[in-house]
Amino acid sequence: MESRAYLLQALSPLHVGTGRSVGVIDLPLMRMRATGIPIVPGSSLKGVLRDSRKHDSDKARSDAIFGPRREKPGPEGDQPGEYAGALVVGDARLLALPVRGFVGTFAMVTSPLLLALARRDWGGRMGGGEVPGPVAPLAKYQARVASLKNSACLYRHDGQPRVYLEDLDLEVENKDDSVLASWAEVLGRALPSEERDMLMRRLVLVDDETMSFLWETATQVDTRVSINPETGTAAQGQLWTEESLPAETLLMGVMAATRAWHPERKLEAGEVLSEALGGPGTMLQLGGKATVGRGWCRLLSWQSGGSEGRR
Amino acid sequence: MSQECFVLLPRDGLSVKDGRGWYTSEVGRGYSHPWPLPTTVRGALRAAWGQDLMTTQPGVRMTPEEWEQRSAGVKLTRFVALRRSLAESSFKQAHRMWPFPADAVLVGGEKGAVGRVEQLLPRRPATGRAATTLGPDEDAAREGLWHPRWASKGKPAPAPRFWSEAEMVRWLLGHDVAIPRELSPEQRTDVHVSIHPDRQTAEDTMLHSRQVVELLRLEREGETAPRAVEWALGLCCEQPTRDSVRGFPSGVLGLGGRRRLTNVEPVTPDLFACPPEFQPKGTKGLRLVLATPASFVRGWLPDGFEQDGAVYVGTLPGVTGPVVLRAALVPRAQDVSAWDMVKREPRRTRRWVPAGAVYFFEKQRGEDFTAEELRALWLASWGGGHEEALGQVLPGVWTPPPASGA
Repeated sequence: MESRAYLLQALSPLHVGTGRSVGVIDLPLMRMRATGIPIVPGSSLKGVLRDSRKHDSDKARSDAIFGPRREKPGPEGDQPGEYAGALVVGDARLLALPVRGFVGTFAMVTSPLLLALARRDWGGRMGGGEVPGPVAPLAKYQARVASLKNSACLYRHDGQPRVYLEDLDLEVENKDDSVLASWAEVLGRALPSEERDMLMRRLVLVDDETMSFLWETATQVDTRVSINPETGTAAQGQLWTEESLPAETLLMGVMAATRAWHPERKLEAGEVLSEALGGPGTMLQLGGKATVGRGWCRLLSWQSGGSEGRR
Repeated sequence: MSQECFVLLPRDGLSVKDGRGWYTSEVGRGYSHPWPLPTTVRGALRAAWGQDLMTTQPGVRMTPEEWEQRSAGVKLTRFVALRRSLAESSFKQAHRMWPFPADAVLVGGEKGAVGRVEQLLPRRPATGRAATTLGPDEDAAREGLWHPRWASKGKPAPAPRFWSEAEMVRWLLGHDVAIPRELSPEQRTDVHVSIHPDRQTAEDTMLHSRQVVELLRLEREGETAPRAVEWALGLCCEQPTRDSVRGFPSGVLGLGGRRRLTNVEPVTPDLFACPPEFQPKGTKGLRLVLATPASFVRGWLPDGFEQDGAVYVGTLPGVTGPVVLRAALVPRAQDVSAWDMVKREPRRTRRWVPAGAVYFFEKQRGEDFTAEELRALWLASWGGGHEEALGQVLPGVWTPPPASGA
């Protein structure tokens, strides 16, 4: 099976939720249970990709890529298909979270764990492409930046650089992290050219413990209410909170494909992936709350930018 | 015949649905096996092998029937669970995880805490008249089996699903084992809904949930920083002699429900070998712990064992002479259903003895089991289903109790 890594960049708050909760937040984000890392399930992305092609005249091509649609909902629609779809979409996992800072407005925060998982998605463990190496571990409550000189998020107090993320005051190691710089550079290649230096200037590496605190507490939580149309006031019992990944969040995932099994549409695996990934920066609406502007994302990949995106 | 050894690292967790249907409850709910079955993994390998064959040999196009026939030679010969820190770059024997054996019991300590690990030791049946069961012809042999008796105080606590390599080797050698930490993979429930493409609203009756077994965990010990740990499946597989594919499997693999993506990492066969620390002495009694589920023709009774008076007698792979089955600690049977992709109908349901079951033996002529015999039994195949790595055993020492008056 051929596979390629992809990036999702949130352009508006992204709410892919579980639909229910017994916690403080009524509509929490979907997360990996054992780690708490926010995810966008592959099924959401695949459904949206398929839907974005519903007006295509070549239905067979779409079916070859995404698989045949069931004819009827419910048990009577459970008929085995004549062929399987060629595309498999993996979950997109958090890669970098924008976190409000006192200096530089916001930082794109990541951690050794998130980069290790991203490295695997790139095939780094197998020596694939030009994947940056693993970053060195960090002490608890420490941070590093790619370049002390170019970072937009640093504040120096008595010569010691620091970053302020929400209410966390973190000491920054007084040296450049060249491996992190390579990550910023290689990840930036997927972004539009005018945004390529964003990561170099804003990427901050924190230890995994701090990161796990941030991915729990630095998400966007909005309180919403329904207005009773008769009275123009808040409707009784209609107050709720919903959690989103903030705009600018980066998530990383993998798509894989076999050659198409459709009896009339012969597509090679590479064609299937190119078709699914679309052109550079394909715009998609993912997750819930679409009608209030949530979930606008760019789907990005390295498919035309060199070997590092292929496995 | 070529043998490929590799590790499967499921990227997004696994959903290996059990036999319960989507519509057997008020909501569509799919339950996953807590750990993938060998038959699921072999099925995925057969699918991947067929795809690789068609990719590497231009012009080859297989019908479902041909696929079924030609991929039958893809055999799973080793199947072990692995667990390592994300920071490590290769898998070693120390990363192996084994099913918790049925002869180990966690016994509660004071105030509900788990106190110790105790071994269930089969005792000779009391002599004299005893109540017997009605039914099959083999009553005498079945009634002659030894049963463990619970002598200690304290309630049994829930057992973990897996034990580490170090703990299992100590257990097999008959040494004490400290309280194991709960290390099993966690599960989450994914909820799915189908959106109608024209209305953009949820389709009626298309809300369903699915259990997903996550294989990436953050583990904390005390006040230390969290450590990322990953679970994986270690496999060896054989390819069909005539059609072997170079570099199989290539790329990622789809495994379980929704073909979740699984990375592939090559390893050497040493990963599955008998560990150097396992150096037993000769022993009067032998324990066999099932490392993978076993498929026996007559349910719990191992293949090749027949009634001989009041005992079951048979042979074991690599062991000289006939042996007597003294006891069998067998948890509830594992029912396995599968789907026939060619006939488009369910396959016949199978019943397996689950991994972790323990069988106890003595040699019929009273000799000791030698150290060489025990080491030869490491991951030996027992019963049916060798092509699915079923019935692989771990050997352990056992000291049978003396006969009364001896």
